[in-house]
Amino acid sequence: MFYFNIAVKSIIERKRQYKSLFAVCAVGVCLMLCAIMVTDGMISSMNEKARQYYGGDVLFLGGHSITKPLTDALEEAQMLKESVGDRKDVKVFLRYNHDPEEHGESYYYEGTTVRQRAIIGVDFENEKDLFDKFTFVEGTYHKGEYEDTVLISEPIAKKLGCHVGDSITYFAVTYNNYANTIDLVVTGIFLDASVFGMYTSYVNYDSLIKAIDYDPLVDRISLYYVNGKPSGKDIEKVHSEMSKKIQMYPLDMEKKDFYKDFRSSDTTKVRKGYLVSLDSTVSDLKLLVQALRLIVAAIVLLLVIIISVGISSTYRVIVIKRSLESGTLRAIGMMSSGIMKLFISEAFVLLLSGCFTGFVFSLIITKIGSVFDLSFISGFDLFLTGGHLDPHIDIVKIAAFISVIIVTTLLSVLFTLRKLVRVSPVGAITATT
Amino acid sequence: MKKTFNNILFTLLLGAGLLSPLSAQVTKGKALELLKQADKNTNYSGTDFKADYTIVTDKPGSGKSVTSAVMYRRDSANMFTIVITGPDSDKGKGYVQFDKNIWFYDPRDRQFTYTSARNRFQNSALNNSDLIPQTIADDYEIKDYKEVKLGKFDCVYYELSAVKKTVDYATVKLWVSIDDGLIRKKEDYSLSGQLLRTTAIPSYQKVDNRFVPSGMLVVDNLRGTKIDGKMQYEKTQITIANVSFQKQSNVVYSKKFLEEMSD
Repeated sequence: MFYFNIAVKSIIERKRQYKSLFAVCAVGVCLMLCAIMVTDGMISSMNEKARQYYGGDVLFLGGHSITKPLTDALEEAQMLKESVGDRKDVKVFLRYNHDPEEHGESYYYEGTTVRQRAIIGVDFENEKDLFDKFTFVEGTYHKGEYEDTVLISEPIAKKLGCHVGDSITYFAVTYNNYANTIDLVVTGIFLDASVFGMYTSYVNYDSLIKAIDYDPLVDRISLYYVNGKPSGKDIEKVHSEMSKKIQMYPLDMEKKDFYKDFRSSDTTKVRKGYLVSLDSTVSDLKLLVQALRLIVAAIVLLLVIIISVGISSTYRVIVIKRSLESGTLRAIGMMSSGIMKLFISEAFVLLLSGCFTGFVFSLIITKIGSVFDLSFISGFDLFLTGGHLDPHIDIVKIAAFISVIIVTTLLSVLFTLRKLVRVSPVGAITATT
Repeated sequence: MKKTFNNILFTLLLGAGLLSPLSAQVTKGKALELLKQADKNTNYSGTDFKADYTIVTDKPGSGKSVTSAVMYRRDSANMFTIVITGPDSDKGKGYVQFDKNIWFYDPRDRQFTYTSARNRFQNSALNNSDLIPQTIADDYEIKDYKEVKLGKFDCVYYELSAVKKTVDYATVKLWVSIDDGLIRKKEDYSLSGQLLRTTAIPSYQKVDNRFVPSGMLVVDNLRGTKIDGKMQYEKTQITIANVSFQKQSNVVYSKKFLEEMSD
């Protein structure tokens, strides 16, 4: 505390001298934290969109078949519900993902047509927790009095020229290859121009089955963790409990290997299941996430080097300039370790205040940045929430990064000061005269 | 009083008679026979067929586009070739069917792409399946039929339901003229009963004792634009001219022919 108080007074007295060091630290930390918060927000946004598209955090594939009758799927869903262990916030969703591109299916509204990449049959009421997180520009997912309903993305709604309450015609091809049409009421228009959402629509499950004129099918069973992403242990727990009920593929098996083995197996009598997390499902996005994190890591490393080298080299000059002061302190009885502690305390106070200022500025800058609608940038919508950047503030992570900067810089300052503070009082006075 | 009542009754009966279909003289057997004849009239087996097609697509609000093509058919072998001769931007493109596969050729990248009979022909209201012989009698069963008048033609009106999964439309309504067994009008419906397309063939030309449509009009009852509050649907008008039933070289029904024609 003694050295800390002296350090604070010293910095205040020499504030002109320390201004540039403070600025380097504050700006460096500000840039670093902005990069971290924005990137984390972008990744979080992308993951949330993937979660919405796939219907959950963990997918269950297989059973008797990849695409199965609803009765089979309900049995498997029940098994999964019993396997989740202590997590009470887990919901099981059943979906049917229809491929409209295969047969050139499309939506029509007043003569205008648009194609879709995916039409997903969902139970809106069961998936309430998931659809509550959608950003709706119009309407909502609630069906109300309508029987056949659809949610479409804003870009698609604009192309069709339709609004909530309008009835669009879904031109489908049935399982028997006949052209079919069904009128769907648009109950909600969501904001998503990303690769997940733009050409995806969500149709009431019964309506989709009616359109394709076939028995109810399910090809996706997912576990949705309402309170946040499951940990590795959560997934292992489900896997272990499911293994007691049916044959399960190993957790670390690659998805393509699963498909290869499953399709060559006879599963008519024996169920074989496979659990896959969302990260593994979207392997292309995993690469994107890794690339983003790598870029941020490079920025952080560069800034840490700049801060620590900058401060330590500047401190070297400062210590040399204050050798008379050091010599005087030695002469009145302070040990060289004491002088070291003094300078280290000054560096620590400087770094702490600089980092705190940088943190505050990063919050302001990211807040200002999040005000702007960036959805006009083609392809960028994947990283946005409601068209805006949504910086993710992880206090623990930020504290850890700041700690790394402080420790790294202090170590480099320490290394620099080691020899300089060992000068004798006579030597110090001699050097200055 | 009695005379007035009789006059009114006579007038009502006469009116009902004029509005009602013609008296049902066609039996189910005859209706089926007529349907088979209609199919036969679209099939030019035993020889090759060649004609110039002009396809005018009218998209309300966007204007008209004209495509010209030469059509070659060898129905006995289920083969055909279409070479697009205009406009310049599409010149050299083409379609060829053999071994039950239809290939689309684009001379720009010299690639053949697999397509299907269900797909649209050059983004018009026409399907590829409209350009080949019809097998309606085999693909559909007659749910209902009656004699009706369609313009100047005495026709049998059919309500048909698909029995095969190879067809596009679950329900078809058809008008076939009784005198010559020619398809005059066709309505294609979705499984849910929505009208999807209307095809009208008002006139035919007789060449070498075979009937070939002089023109066809296809209306897409889904695509269009609202103009002045009224829906205007996309239409495709096809004119067929210079019909010939002379034998063509076998190479015409091959990918090589399309590649050579585009050079």
